Amino acid sequence: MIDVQGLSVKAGDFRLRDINLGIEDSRFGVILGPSGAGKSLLLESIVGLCSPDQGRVVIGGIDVTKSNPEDRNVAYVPQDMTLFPHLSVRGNLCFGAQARRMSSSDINMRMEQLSQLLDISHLLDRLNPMTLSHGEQQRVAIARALMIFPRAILLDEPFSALDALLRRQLQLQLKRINRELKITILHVTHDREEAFMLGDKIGIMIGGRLVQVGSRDDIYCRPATVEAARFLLNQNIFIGEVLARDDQTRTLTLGDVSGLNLNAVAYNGLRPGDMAHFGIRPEEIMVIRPGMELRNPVQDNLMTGTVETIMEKGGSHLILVRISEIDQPLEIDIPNCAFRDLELAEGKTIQVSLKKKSVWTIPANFRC
Amino acid sequence: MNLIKLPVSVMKKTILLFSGLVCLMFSCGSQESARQTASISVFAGSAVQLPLKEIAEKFRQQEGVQVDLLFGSSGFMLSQMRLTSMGDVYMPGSMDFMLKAKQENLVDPGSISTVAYLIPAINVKSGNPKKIFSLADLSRPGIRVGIARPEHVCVGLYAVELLEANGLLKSVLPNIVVTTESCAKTASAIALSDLDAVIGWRVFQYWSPERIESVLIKDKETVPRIGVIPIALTSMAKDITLAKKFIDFTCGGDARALFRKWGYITDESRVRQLAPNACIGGEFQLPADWMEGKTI
Amino acid sequence: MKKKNSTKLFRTFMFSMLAGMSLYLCILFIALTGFLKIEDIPGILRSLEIRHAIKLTFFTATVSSLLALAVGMPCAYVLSRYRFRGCNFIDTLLDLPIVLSPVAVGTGILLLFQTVPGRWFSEHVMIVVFSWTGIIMAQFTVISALAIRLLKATFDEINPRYGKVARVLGCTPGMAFMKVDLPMARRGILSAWILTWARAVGEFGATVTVAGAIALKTETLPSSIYLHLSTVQISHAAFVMTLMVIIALVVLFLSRIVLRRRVFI
Repeated sequence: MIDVQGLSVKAGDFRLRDINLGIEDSRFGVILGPSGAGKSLLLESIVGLCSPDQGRVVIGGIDVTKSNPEDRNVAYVPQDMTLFPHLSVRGNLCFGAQARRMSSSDINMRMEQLSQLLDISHLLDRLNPMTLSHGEQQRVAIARALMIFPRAILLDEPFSALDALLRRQLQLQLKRINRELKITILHVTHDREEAFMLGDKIGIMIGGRLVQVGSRDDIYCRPATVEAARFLLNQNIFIGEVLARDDQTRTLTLGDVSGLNLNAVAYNGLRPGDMAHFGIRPEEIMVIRPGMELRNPVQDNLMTGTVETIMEKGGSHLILVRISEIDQPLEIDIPNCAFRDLELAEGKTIQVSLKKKSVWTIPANFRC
Repeated sequence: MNLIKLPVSVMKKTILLFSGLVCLMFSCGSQESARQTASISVFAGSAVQLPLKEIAEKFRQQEGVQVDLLFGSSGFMLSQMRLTSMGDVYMPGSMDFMLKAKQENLVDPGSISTVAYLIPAINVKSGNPKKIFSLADLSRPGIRVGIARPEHVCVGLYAVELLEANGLLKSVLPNIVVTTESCAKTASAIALSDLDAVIGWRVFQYWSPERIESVLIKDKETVPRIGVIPIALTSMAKDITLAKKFIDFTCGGDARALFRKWGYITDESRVRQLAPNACIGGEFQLPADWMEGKTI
Repeated sequence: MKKKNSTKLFRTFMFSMLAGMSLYLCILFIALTGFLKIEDIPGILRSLEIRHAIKLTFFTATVSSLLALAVGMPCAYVLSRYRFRGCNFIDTLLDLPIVLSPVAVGTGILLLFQTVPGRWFSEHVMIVVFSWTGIIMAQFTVISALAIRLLKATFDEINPRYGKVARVLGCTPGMAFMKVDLPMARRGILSAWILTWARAVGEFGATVTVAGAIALKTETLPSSIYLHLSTVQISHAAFVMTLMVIIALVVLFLSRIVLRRRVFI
């Protein structure tokens, strides 16, 4: 539905370079990236508020690169200050529909449907939208965007100013809108959790470039660049050389400069002698219970270390484990239930497994 | 649904308001142009404002000609005439501006005539609280005196000459605390400020009798020079016959009577009576060092 | 304890400044009325000249302030929303009439009508110098800079995002301006109108230079004060001043009330 091809946009000193992105019809796409990465600029280019230097924007099979925003028939919900303060809630909802000269019966029907879906029926008669709570304002804004029967709806960090509970509610509501109205959504956020919860397809944007586009699993387990890996909180990142490659078992053996050796699944074209970044997410590291029978997947990459620090995070515990081979401590994230069983304490010696399947590798384009 | 329609009604109101204003503008405009039958414009110094207004009104009644009167300081009016190339008659408060106008070819030299005479006098506040009866009294310690700027304003120049002729310039100079930038400002200075006296024209008393009193120079003190109010046809006058008619009217008997009513003098014989030794009009060279030893 | 004392001191200082200033202005106006002579007032009010001056002042100030708004709105919008080469220069240029004394502005207008296109305009379209159109032109020139400043500040306060949202919702740029920026700016526009109107009513220097002070033709209230002062008609001048003070107070006070309530024009 939304197809961005080779898009380059300049805004002041900032530049979006060669953006390629495709969101299929009625799917939920999410652009994830730190603030200042150019996510808003990308959205503005898609809705037509910025004109690109290069590339094309295709919406619903029509090239709209040169069309005006009002002719693109996409909806747009910015982060805040979205409702027109001089119009009532109802006036806000009807704004786009009236500008597009929809008949009043259509307007009323659509308003009925959307206010039920977004649970804002009780707000319709409020005169001053500024008296609505933040969450209510964003719901009205989303409804207003949907009033015009858009081909797609683009949201620019719509929930970032909301508290966690409200944010969760609205995330669920948005997902429901996506399913029930079968509308294509492109959502921009810097919240990793939000991205993974909502996105069928996730793009990672860093420094004006879309560094990786893929499914949740791709993004989660196989980051495409070190920056993406860092942004997604992959704390255990190593750099080293590919020591061996076994194509039969699709296994790579990588060696860190300090002498750490890891096996990984060979999912890209790394060859022995290549330099590579490699690593594993803190949640993917298993702590082996003493005396536990080691089954196949756990047998790889076993190592022993001492627990240095334990930090409680709410739902899970973060444990820093000092491994003799490497300088930096390994970061391990253990769910609370598992943590209780393991009876860990600082100073204790434990055995951990860095499952081969969970180790990611990124070719490094330099030699030591 | 009513609320959403509001912007439309606002638009309607705005359009209504604007069209109303445009109508008003045009109606007013047509009104203005309708009144523009025969008319002449007179650029005059503030010094003749009061009599000239009545004269113009009389002229309008008699001849059915609209006279647009523009008042200001004589110099400003001259600049305005120059800048706009408009104006049919020029009537400054003193001869020096008329000479300037002649120099710049803005008036027809042959048409310059004298309308009235102005006699310099000491102007004090009504009731003469400081008991100033002569120029010599101005040199009394503690008396605050104002004159117009002699470099630019003729009444100021006359004041300096007056003091010098009576040998009082040196002794009065320390008491001069203000110089004003026009003849009219000199009059309002004595009426409104804390000055005790200004050297101005005798007519100031007639402008505002409740505030200003004129003390004539008499006895041993002499008036060396009398001011002249001239009138002339400008070189860019459109309706020359009409303008000439107005000039003749202003120099005529009815107008003279009005001038006299406001305290101006219209007969040379009367001038002689009041100031036997004075020259009429003409030029006085301001001594370059008149201000010596004095800062204001 | 010391802290509390300093707060009190600070507040006392600030409030006494405000009180002093208000008192000063009050005394100023009361002193004015001291020069009034009650027995003169009916005569002055009956005179055609003063009634014409009042009407003319109101009319020209209204037209020139509306013109200034109409022209100033697009100018201010562009200056507020766009950055372009030379925009700082234009910004400064538009401020010139504020800095220049009104007499200079008036003289500039007179000189303008001495140029070839200026002469052509006077001959074929209409005569501006020494007519009521000249008053409007003089007032417009002086107040337009003020109008643009005030309107720009108003537009600066409106987040451009509202306009962007309106565009995506289906508005052309013109519609977005009419339906979003303009209504959101309406209070600012209204107060800009009132201030420029008040400034136009008080305008004297440029007006008298361009249009003179011809009785029953181009004599406005300020030029009436000037004319009466120059012949020492103090009570007359004081009456016109008092009249202007009363008008200004009424208008400014009413506009405050209108602005305080959320009313649509």
